[in-house]
Amino acid sequence: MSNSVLVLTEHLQGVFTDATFEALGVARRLAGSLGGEVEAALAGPGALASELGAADTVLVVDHPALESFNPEANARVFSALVHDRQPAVVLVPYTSMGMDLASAVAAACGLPLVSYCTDISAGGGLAATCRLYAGKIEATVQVAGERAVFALLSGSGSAAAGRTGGAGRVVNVAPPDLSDINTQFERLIEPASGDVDITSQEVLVVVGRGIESKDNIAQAEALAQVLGGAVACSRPIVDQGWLPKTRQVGKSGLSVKPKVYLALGVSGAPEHLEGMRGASTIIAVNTDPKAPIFGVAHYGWVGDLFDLLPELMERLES
Amino acid sequence: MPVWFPLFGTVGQEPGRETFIGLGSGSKLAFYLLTLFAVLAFLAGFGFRLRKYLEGGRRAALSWRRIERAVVDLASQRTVGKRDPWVRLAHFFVFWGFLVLLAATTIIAIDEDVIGLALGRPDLRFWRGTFYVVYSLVVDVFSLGFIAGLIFLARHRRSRPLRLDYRRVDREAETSDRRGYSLDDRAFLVVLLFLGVSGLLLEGFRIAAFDSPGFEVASIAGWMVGSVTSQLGAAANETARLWTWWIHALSALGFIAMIPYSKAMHMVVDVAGLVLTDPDSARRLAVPETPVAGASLASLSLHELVHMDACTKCGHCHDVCPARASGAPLSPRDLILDLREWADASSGIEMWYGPGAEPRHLDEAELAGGVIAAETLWACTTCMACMEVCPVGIEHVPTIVGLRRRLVDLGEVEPGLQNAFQALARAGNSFGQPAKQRARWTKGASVEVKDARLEAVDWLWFVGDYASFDPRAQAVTQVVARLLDRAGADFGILFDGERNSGNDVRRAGEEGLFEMLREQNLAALASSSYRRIFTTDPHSLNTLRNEYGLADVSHYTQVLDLLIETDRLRLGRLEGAATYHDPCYLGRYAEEYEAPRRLIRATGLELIDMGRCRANSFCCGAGGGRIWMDDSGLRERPSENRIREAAALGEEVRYFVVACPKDLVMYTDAVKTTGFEDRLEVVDIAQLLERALQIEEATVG
Repeated sequence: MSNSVLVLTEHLQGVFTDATFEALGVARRLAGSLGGEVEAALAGPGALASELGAADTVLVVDHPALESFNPEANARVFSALVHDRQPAVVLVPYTSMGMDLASAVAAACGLPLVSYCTDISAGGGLAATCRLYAGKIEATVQVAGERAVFALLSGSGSAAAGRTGGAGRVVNVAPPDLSDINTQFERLIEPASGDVDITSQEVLVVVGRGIESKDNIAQAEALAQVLGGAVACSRPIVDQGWLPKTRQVGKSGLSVKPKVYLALGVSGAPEHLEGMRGASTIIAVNTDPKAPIFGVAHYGWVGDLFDLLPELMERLES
Repeated sequence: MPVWFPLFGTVGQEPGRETFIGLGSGSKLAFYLLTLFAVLAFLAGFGFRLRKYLEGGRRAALSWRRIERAVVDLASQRTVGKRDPWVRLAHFFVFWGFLVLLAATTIIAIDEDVIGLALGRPDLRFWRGTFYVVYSLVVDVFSLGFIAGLIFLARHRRSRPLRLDYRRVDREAETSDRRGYSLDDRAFLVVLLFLGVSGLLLEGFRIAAFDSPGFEVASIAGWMVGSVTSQLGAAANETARLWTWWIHALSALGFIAMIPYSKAMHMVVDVAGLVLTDPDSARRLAVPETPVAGASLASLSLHELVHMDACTKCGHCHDVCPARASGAPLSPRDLILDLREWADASSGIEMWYGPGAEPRHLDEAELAGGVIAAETLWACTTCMACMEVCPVGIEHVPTIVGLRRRLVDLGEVEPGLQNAFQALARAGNSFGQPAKQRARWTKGASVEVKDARLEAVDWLWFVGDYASFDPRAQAVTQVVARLLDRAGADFGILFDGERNSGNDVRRAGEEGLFEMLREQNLAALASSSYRRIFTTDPHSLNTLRNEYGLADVSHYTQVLDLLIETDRLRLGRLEGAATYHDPCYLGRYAEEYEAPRRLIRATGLELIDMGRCRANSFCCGAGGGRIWMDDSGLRERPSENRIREAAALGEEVRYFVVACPKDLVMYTDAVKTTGFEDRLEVVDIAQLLERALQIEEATVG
């Protein structure tokens, strides 16, 4: 066993993730209290090693199978490294990739795994602070043995702390046999360039057929901006092509639970109600007093939204 | 050349003629050898196809009833051109013309080759005398009809109707090459026409070449041709006759050889296809057998493989399909043709115009989601319009359901459908509501609804999911309850014992979930006491009747019809005109077209049917699980298409009448999105009845 801290780095399309640098920063601190070195494990092209200056040693394992993320190959490579180097601490950034890796490596090497870590300390035995129940509880976890794998939540350290430092020693390590890997990297699918995420808004101004034309949506946009929210809509608006599908609330769209749901000219078909019933405060404006939206609204006003909008804007702006 | 139209039977000569006039023994030998070759090519072609069919995993049941029905279908041509009577008539002539001409040749072969040559009994030959005269007349009349029918069909084809548009709907036109199809169609028509016309010419030359006796006038068409060509002189006619004889004979033999490799194969395969077809196959889906994984012929059934070959690309299904009409990537025609091309290619069969299958299809590991795209399979509403209109008995819906079952096995399920499946498995309804909520509508019905599990009832009302849970449909369900109560009907429901009937779950390919729902419903029914069943939901009507094995299941419109007929509900009169949408599962599936129409008329409304009505009714787009799936991205929703059709009937039509809770949901939405909200009211038959009842009671009371 060594006193070193081994960081399992993560890169996507030739760029290290911030979470990797955060882990390196934490590793520096831990290595200080352990009196050991920081080692960075890099599964992929050695050319990337120069960016890992925060580590004293960069262990490069290069193989065609490692060019892009491959959970099976990575787990095997990292497990072999941990097995050979016997570090005291293995640090894994707890990203989507890290979730996959941390448990696999811990299991393969027979090490305890502490996940959801926000802080790790090494003075007086290994310990960590872990976030549980979606952040409702923080637990302090003491590791029984002398070695452990820690999965570090992103945002738990400073990425800048991991970016500093000189050039580390680069050691090329021969890869283990990867010929029987069953997983193959096919392609990277990039998510469509982001529209507003209406599910995370606190205030939604929602337009329905009552908005009458595409041009009128601008008025709703202005209101949403003043209220610090975003514009969403019911299905006919998407059908018309006035707003993208990402803005649609309802059964065939998204389910939302904002604090304020201001429905302008939305009649409230059951399929729409299904997607917004849980909003904290529902305010409905509709010309039809029998519109089903009034059945779920906390506040309602029967009238023309075009009478309301200018007045509302005026008062909000003043 | 005798004079025009002399009297029958010129004295002194018995009607009849020699078969191979003017042909030497060498020519005869050549003819027989070519015949042998053509017959061998014909048999080999169908032999390959038969081998392909036998790879099919399941065998269809044969029965005399099916054979009888197929014979009537063929003879009457009643399944052909259902939406186009002129095409049907033309095909009728071509069909019978071809059959008579084929019989004519067969008669000569029996007379000459079997009786004359093989048996060596020239004294028994019968192709002479009165028989010869009648034969000549019949053959000529039918061959004229044959030619006329072909000319009509060729002209029809030139008018480029939508059905014969081979452009694909599921991808860019440039990515598929279907010139082979058009070539095949045209070649088939041209060859048949050529055979018909050359036959007549041959007859004319023969009659003109010899000083033909008067009885030959029975060959009316040939006689007319001969009377024209006789002006060229006997010698020229004889030369022309010999040439035409060979040309006609060679093209006929060539045609026979090509039958199994061209569109002409439908003449043979369709007989088998019609015998193998089960008109109830979509109503009562077969229980899946042990699934055969991957893209294998064994994963299809024998009759499915036969039906693929039976397709003539007539495109009637393409025309009526609501998915195709809405811009979804499904055309029933292309689905069948894609499967056929794949099946042919995987058994090494080629059409004369080359390989049909796109190379990518042969690399696919699966039929479902591979050869046939998953989006294509999910697009089907199981409305059965394709099967209803198909002239050759292809069973598109069961094939699609079979492939959907595979998709479900593979876990490739449309997200909306996945949610519905989960809700159904957990709560027994697609709304994900607790079972206790199912009968909540009874609270607002202002009549008491019995629990059939606790007390005996006459009518057990299987309400159905949409009628129970959807707020719009609930209002109608309450109306139905009030009408029944008003008529003094003794009815009850299963309350939280009822589950989704599973009709659409099954048609979405989730057989296991369907079986679970059916078990639960049958258990609830077994614990109740009732005389007969009715349901609000036509989809449930189908599965309760055909897949639960329950006797005496009715639709609520049939119950209301009965109550009015027996004078238990007295109606006042409403003003205005209405149109009625036949739900797929009440119309095509249950074949009930009249009860709802009687009810509408009973309210005093004038009923104006849309162009697409009854068996040709259009679909709202909700069936087969579609109501749970995302329908954005369609060019025009089927429901919107339908509302526009109704609106086009004219301003006087105020009511768009429905008899299905899913229709109510789909059309109340569509009437809004198409902007006809102010002109057309989407209303359930029961709601109309209640209004008429209120008028009556107001006047009486």
